[in-house]
Amino acid sequence: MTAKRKVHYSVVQFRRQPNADGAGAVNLGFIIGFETKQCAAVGLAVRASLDEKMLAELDPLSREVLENRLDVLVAEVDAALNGHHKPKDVLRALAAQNPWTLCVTPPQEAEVSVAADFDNASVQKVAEDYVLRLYSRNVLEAQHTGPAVAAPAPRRVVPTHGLGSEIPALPAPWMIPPVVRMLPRAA
Amino acid sequence: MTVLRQFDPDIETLAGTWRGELCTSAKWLPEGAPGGLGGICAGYLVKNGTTLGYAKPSAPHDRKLGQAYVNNPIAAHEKIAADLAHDLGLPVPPAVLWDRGQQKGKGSQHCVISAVPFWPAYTWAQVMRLPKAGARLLPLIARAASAISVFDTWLDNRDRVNAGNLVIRESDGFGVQVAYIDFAQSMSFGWGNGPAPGVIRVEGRFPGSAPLDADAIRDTVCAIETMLEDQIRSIVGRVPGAFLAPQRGWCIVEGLLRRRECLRGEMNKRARL
Repeated sequence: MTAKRKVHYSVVQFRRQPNADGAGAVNLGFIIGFETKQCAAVGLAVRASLDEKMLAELDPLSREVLENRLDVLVAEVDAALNGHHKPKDVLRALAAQNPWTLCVTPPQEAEVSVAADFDNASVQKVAEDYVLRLYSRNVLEAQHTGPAVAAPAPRRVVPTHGLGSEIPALPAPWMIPPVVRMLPRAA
Repeated sequence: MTVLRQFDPDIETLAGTWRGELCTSAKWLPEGAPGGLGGICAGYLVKNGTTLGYAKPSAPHDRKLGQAYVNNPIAAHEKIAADLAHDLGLPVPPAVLWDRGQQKGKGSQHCVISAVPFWPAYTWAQVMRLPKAGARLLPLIARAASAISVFDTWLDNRDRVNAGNLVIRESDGFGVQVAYIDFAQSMSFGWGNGPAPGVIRVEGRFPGSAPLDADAIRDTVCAIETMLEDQIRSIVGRVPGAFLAPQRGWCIVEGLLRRRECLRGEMNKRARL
């Protein structure tokens, strides 16, 4: 038995040129917004490693931003949570606040098939599952990925966190496990 | 050395053009859906050749935000602030009004485009998470932060609390470049149709941890005080009625003239000029 779930996602990019469409950008990961029966949440998944040669060629500030990308983005997510109860609104706020070189794209929606007992898993596991599913759909590649981004791994089946569905494997160092924040319910 | 207005030469050339030009006649293409970036002002990136700009509709028309937002002439505020800053030598990106013509779908007819002043560009919200960069850059932006506090006070800008409204670049060629953006919630946002109040609130430096540069404050106050009255009237008065209702325009002109008379006194209380 499977069910359909909607997940919103925004891609985090390092835009080396001022191209509004993100051409030539280095994709750093993505931010997802989703709801379960228990809660609404936002998850941030950031790529683990970057091209050292590219980093060395950057100005000091760009290099420091990229080297501390997880801290910077977690702080941005935390700031965007304020006053929002819907995950998509958090993603829209993040896109509005981050249109420049370290860029969060406007949110898009994806529908995924999940196991029937999906909602019984922990929020962290649900977030990890969504991240893997979106990654397997090449959502990062669809965002004008530049050459510095690693190619996606070939699909293969791996154990599935007990969620009962097939999830493609990733190259181990690609993505740091997602940081997840739960949203307060609207009063 | 601390910096004030230090944009790339091509941006300064554009600034000179846009200072003389009120409405753009160039063909700007939206990158993504108008309003796609969200935010109260529903801004979006636009492009003309290799020039990238950030476009905002003149009023968001979202009644949930309240009356002050619904009637707020955002485009006029941005254009007036950019022109004043250009003449004062302050680090505000150049702006130009943009009449898109009647829009059938999503997107407003009356907009403003602010030039993206440099690249790469990071918001202060991003930089403040970096302990090393923060400590390195704060002394270098003291002059700009102090000068803009005077400008914000004069224009009664109420949105400098947003750390996304300062963008910064560090490069080998220029050192540190800063741009203070977003004057949507300035001037008649709080004054309505007027009359504008005198200076009752002094805007602090942004970021607040930037060192005080009393010379920059004194120089900026002097520059504002010595600006010709006709210059101020011209900058505001030439904005077309479609972007700024006459009553609002009158309110802004009189407010700017009135408030600069008491600017030195109020800044003096804060900075001991």
